[in-house]
Amino acid sequence: MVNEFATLVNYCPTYCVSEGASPFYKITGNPIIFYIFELANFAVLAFFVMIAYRLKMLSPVSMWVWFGLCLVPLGINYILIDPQIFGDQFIYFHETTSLKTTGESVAYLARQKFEADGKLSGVTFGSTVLGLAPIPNFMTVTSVAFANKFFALITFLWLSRYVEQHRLLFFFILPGFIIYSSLGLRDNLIILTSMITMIHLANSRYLLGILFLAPLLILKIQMFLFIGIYLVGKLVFRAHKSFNGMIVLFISALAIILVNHDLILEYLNYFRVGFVAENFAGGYAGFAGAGDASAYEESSLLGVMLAAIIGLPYFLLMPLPWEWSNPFHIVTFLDATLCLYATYYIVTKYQASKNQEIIFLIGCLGIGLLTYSFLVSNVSTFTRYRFTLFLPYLFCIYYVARRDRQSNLKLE
Amino acid sequence: MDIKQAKTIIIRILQECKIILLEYILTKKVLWLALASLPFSLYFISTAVPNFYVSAVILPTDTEPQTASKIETLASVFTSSAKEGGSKNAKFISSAKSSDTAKALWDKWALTLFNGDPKNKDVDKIPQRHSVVQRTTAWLVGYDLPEYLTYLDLQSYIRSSIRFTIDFNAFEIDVRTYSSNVDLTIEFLDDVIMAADSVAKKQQIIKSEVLIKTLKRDITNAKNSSIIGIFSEKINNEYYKIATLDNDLPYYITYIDRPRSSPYPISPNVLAIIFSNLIIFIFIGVGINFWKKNKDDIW
Repeated sequence: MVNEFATLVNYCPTYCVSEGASPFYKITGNPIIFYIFELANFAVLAFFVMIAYRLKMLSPVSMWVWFGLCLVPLGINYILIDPQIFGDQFIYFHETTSLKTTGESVAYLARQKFEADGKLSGVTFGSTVLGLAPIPNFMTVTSVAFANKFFALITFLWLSRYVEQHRLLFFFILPGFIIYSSLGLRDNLIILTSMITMIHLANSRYLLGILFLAPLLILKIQMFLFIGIYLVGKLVFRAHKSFNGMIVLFISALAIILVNHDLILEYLNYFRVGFVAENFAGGYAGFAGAGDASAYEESSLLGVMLAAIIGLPYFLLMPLPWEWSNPFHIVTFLDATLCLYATYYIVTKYQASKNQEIIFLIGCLGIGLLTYSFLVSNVSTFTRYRFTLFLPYLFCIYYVARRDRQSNLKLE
Repeated sequence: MDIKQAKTIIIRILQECKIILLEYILTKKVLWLALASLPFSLYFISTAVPNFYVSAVILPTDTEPQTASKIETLASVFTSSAKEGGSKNAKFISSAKSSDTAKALWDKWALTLFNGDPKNKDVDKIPQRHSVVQRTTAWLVGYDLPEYLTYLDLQSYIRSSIRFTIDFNAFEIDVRTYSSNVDLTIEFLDDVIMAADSVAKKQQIIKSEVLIKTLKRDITNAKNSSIIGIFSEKINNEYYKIATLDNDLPYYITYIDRPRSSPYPISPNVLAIIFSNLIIFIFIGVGINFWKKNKDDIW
């Protein structure tokens, strides 16, 4: 069932329009209807969990954890947070319902698409994928969160072919992942697609890797580029086997960057100023009137590198305790420290400090983190970007380190 | 994985699905629970208030008052007609959402929309409700809560309940809302549209009057005959503009479709409620069966 009037009728557990006391306000009827729609979605996901358990695809512990994880979307929007905090959720909800009912984008996105000469946007693509989830209702903004949860479950089942479930659960119960997979955003899809791509690439299944990498070109072009480095390095330069190959790759990349120096600088400055403007009082319009773009622009690539390196420690740990202003900041800080510690733990536990593939993976991750550390302006947006980049790499580092350690032990 | 392996796996999955279907779903308990979901669904449907979709389609008028020279007007026909339409739409929507429009509608609509006390006939004495939290906070922090509703509350209501969508070419505006009280909403939507147009017109008239006053002041000091000529032409233009605006004709918009309601309610979604309740109740039955058969393994 799809809410075909999604842009107008907004079912929610409390009366959605709060101002005044007009008789017109009784618009969504009984607020329990919200729970009826969403509990039906939970029921179907829980049913999938039961089937997976019966098919021995889930261990008892994993089954209980997944029952819990499937319940989380019910408690995030409207209960723990106001969905307007992540306002993009409504765009995905409107687009998903519009695509499912009319086959066309919602009016305001159709207009953007029209102005962009029909170019497929990440929102439309993400919403199309989310709309494929076999959940019974797309009636509220929380339904899209349940669609995300379905894809997380399917990916978990697939990944359990490569990593034992009790170990795999660590990645799926990271606070950041629980939150992003319980919201109606595309970040969850980006993380899952990146994880699958990296596992294929780590196992040298390049065609499958490219197949899963392709959607990232639309979903999140940065992730496409950061994982693309791993693909090209591994496939062309054998950088996962040879340190020299990795050096040749980085020198080649540096040469390309130097040749296109002006273009890349312009591109990086454009995005840096864009993110600052987005965060400026009054948004882009406010920045156009009162902002000074030159204050954020770097005139040389050396300046970019220095700014990125100096900003990296802060970027890795932000938001720092004295910047916390809501529970999400605590969660994201916890995520950041957990991910960093997990990387250190994996490298030391599996004695991977001399494993060339791990060195290369950390190098690729470092490039991504440095790029973000140069662009960073809005804490909330960039903690999301950081997690979306870090988790797939962390998972791949863990998988490769463990796999190589086990094969070394067998050889010994 | 070869074809034989794949075949074995598929056969196993199908066998398990058969077991799940027979042992967990097709049981008496689940069927009874599925039936029990119907009274619950009926309760929610019967207590829900049907809401109808009310919409209107409007178009910016092409009767912009003449204020520019003939050549400029001719050029604008070729260069900026779409832009002008878009600009008029933006002005109209801003006007509809403005406090001036709410103020214009307040006297007529305040009692109908907000008054809970049938004895009260004063639009300025409609009590404002506050939640317990708001009242407690005000008491603790020591500030006064507003006692009565004002036209600003009507403005909030218009902003939150009426949607304005402009089409691709920035011409038509789709104005939408929904309500259980169809006749009242149709009338209200019509009033909002007309009041927004009227407010926009009044603002334009005020602007022209101020401009005339300024130009008249400056023309007395001007000594250059060409400047006097230009000022005179501008004053005439502004007088003409006022003459065009000071009437009951629509200025910014004209109706393509007057406000009307959908023949069927758009909420509650009866099928979705029945279907969702059915799923929940079936799941309860399946969950009980699942627990009974697997409690030794899963706990």
